[in-house]
Amino acid sequence: MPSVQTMSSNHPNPCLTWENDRYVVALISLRGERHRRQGAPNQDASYGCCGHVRGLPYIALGLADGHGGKDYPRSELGAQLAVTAFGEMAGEFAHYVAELSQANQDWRREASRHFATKCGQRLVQIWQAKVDAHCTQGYPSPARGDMARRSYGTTIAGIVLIDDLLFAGAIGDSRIYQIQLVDLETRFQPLTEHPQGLGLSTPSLVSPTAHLQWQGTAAAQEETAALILCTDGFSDSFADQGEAIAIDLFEKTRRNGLRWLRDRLPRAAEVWNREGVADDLSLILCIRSDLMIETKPESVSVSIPLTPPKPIAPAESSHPEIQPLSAATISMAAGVDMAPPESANPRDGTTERQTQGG
Amino acid sequence: MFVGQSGSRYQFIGRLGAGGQGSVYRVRNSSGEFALKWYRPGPNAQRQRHQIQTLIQRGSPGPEFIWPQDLVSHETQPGLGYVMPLIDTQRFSTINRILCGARPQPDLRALVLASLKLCAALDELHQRGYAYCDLSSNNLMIDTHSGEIVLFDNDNVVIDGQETAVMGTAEWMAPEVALNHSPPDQQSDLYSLALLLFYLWTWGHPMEGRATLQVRCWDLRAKRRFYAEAPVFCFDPNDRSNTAEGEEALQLVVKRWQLLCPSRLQNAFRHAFSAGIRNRGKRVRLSQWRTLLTEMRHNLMPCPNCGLINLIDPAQPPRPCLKCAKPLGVQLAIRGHGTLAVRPGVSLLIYHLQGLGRSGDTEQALGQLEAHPHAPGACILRNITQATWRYRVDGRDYPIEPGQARALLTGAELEIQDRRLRVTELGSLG
Repeated sequence: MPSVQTMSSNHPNPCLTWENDRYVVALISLRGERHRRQGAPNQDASYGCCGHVRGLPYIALGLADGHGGKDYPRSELGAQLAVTAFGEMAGEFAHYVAELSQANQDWRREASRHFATKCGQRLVQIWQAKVDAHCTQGYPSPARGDMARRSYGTTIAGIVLIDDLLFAGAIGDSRIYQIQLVDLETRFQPLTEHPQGLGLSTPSLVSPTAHLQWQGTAAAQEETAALILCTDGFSDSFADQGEAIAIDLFEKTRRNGLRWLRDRLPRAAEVWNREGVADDLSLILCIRSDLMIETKPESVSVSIPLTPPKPIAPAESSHPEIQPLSAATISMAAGVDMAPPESANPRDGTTERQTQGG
Repeated sequence: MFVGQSGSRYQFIGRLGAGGQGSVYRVRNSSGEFALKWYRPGPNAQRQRHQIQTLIQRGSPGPEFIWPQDLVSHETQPGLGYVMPLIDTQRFSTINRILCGARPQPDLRALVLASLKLCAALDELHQRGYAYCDLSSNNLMIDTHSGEIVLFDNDNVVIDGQETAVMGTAEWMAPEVALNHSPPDQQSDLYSLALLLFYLWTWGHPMEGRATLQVRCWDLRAKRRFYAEAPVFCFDPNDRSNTAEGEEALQLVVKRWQLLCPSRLQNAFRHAFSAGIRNRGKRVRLSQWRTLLTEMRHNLMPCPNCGLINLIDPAQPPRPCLKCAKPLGVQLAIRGHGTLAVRPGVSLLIYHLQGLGRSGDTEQALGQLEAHPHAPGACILRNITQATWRYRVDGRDYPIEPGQARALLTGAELEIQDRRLRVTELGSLG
């Protein structure tokens, strides 16, 4: 049986981590500042699971962003069901790959195509069944039919790591990025295309053509140093979609270890959220274990980077209360310290200069 | 640095992508930029090398093929790769990207042209003695504006009858290939082509319907069963066990089948996915697809009201515009070789007399259809050849001299170059 970690808001330390001999993984999901003010729940959900099928190890990581708003009153449940559906689909896919790799030397090609064409359909099918079952149970009130399903509207993005391949797929605007180390360059590139449009035009699991909106792709793990999965609460908070922050997180986590990341990520995420679009924010960072540099005790005290490109709301934001930040706000955000959590005043000491040393 | 067999040296610029077989890089040499596919080490390397070398020596069948140009090795790393032209990804898009909304949908004109070009390209490939072996939605890119296509992953193309390194992709394999009764060849290409054309037109797989929606795990057994052992066409008129109709998840497929696919195209698919499943000799031939799609191209017309490209189905009574629902104003068709819906501004072609041929210009116009000067909605046909035509209506015989025109009436018969064409109402063609 695979071990499973799912998570929503209000976790004591919202950063979950684990490591094995191939990957170190961190997941975080924070309720957005806006939802906190409105008393609304965190409508994101994230998921991590590793297990074996027929002796073949696999890792599945996913996150979902419930649409929120009055048209989607159960979207936080929809998001939760979406990530568990993704986990189920990943297990089935791993089973298929295990079978395929024993039967066919050319299994990678077949597996890649299967993931791109079949897994979206299967994910939608599992999710719809879960939603329908949830409706039937009458929680929180009885509801049936398409409209009921619609109220669970959510996006989904996830990756499955099997053998030497990684498979990434998404429906909607949650993002998956790949970090590559090529010579002296660190590259950050999207694995799935960002759909056009904002708000309600975002592809969704409740769309009648959801299975067609699945963007599935495959890549070689050996060419991948790290993977970043994030909801738009993270990517929309930065002018560069979080590229610099993600690369910095990757580099510093390599040097300082997973514990360092777990201790500091929650506070950093709060700052990004507060200074960014204030939407629910979920982030999964998955780094190849062989790229981790042995943790040195002194490096654990390094205070952070986590500030580079300024958190900024996109100019075209559809959220009425979110406006592009003023220069003053940006300047303030840039100066925020990601000091150790035990610090009485997180803004003391600090600064980027200090963080560069890590 | 990669070194080509041609002696050319290719400098790495960036990575374009990676997949099941290996990675694709952008590279540069003195004559420009190219794509370079570098294989993951595997047991088929020697065979792959031989296959690619053969393809390079024999040359590309046409511009639609992203054909291997140079076999390459790396200065320091062991392995194998080949250089091919770069695809303009701003222009060309995979079908999956169109389906997921990342690219605009092709209109009906682009869809017909893309289908036609796909058939013509495969025809050319077969004429040169090759078999594609791995035709699938993953190997095709479309310019959604013009309908131009490119076929890539051509390294799996073999001389028909030769052994191949890949068997194809389960969903796109002919049953005899999936069941290991036969290696992929030109005959299995015909089956894969029918699957791909259906996918292009309906956005669904022809063997996926009610029964396959019940599949809870798409493992090898399920794929073998539903695509190879017992495939049932989702619009099979005699077996509704796997029908797409009435299934919520397949609504779009049904809608596209009903609204976009003319009757003759539907019939071709029914034939391909009934008798053509098991009987290789009964598969729809490339010439049949080309004839059918050529006729469809001739029957494209913009709506006079909103401008949307519609496809007139001569076998159906007149239908309104797909977008604005206003009448398209087409009532009659000329039936010769294929059928031409009668409307002003189009030409009667040599094709309508003799069909497609490998010699001669079948697109050469013989007559011009014009609006009737006195009867709104009616059409006249003008003879633009140097020969006199015969025109029979209501038992009377009239000449149509060069430059002369006659009004087209239901039941009339045209005699042009000893060939007879009939004017009938739409929907009366059967």
